[in-house]
Amino acid sequence: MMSWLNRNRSKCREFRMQLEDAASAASGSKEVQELLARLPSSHKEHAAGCADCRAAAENILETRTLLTELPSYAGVAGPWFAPRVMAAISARRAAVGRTADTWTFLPKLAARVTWASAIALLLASGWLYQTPASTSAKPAVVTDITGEPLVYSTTPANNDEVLVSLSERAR
Amino acid sequence: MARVPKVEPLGPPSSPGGAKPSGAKAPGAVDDRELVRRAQHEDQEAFEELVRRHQHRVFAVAGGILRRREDVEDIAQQVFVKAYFSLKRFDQRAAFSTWLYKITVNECWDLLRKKKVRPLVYESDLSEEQARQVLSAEEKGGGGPDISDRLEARERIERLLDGLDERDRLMLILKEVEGFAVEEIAEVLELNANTVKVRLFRARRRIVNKVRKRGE
Repeated sequence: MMSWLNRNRSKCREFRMQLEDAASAASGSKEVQELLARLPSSHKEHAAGCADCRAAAENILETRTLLTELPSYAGVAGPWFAPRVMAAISARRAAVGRTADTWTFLPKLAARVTWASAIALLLASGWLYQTPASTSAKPAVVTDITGEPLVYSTTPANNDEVLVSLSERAR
Repeated sequence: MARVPKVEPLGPPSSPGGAKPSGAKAPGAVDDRELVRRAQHEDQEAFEELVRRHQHRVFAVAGGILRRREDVEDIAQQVFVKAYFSLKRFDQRAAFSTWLYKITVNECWDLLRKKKVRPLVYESDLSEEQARQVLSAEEKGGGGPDISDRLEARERIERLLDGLDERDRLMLILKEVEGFAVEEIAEVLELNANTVKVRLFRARRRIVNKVRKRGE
């Protein structure tokens, strides 16, 4: 049973493939019989016994009739089209050319900019080298919570401190 | 219905009865590879020739996705401009047409993503020129339904197609409206030809079922 079904299915598939070719060859056919006449006799016999395949042939003719209402766009292209395309290409090339021109100055300018920046860098580094170091940075003073410095300055604040330090040294 | 003849020898012509575009390759004319090679060396005339050769199919693919004339024209121009500026990177391992269709499909889907709208065409979206086209076709045909009926019918079909997956919709339009061969559709969408056939079959079945359900 299964093998009979499979054989029938493959026959249907084969028939439809052939039918499409027959339909392409007979583009003016109005009757199913005209289409079937272009098929080998084995396929004709198959069509006689297979309602689905006959329906496939009818569908081809029916959709063909239906779609004749739609306009073809192939005919829209006329002799005006090629010059229009070429004009569009020329316009695009000109636009691309203009953009390229805008950027062509850059390589010329780039050499000058390189020289100028090299000279500027040389002068700046020479000036920096010759300039003496300015005021040295003050050491940071660490303070306690009250704001009193934790590290006392080594320089005496007044004469009494000088005397105290001398007496300590004498000891 | 305008069918677009193939521009490269990919197989049998998909539309033998179709009108030949002005730029279609004449027998003995320079092939695409040579034109591409020349265009890669800044030969503008060679590129213009490539545009003339492929414009109809680029319009067809873009039209299949976008379904709005204004968008189709803009995208087609964008596709060729992009192709021109990317041409030096194109190594000719694939056909020029394949490469061009890929750009077209990508540009169209990018546009749709940006717009975030479904490519529906309603009566109000049709430009005056499109309405005039329909009208002139009407006059040529003599009699037939009223222009508003036709626009209505078109709108109804667009709504039906809108229920399909984007790719299936494009496949169906390329096949039935623009006259592409299955192999060409496979090339545009980078799919296997058998996959295209199967998907076309399913898309048709869905459309017909919808029509029957609505009793149209």
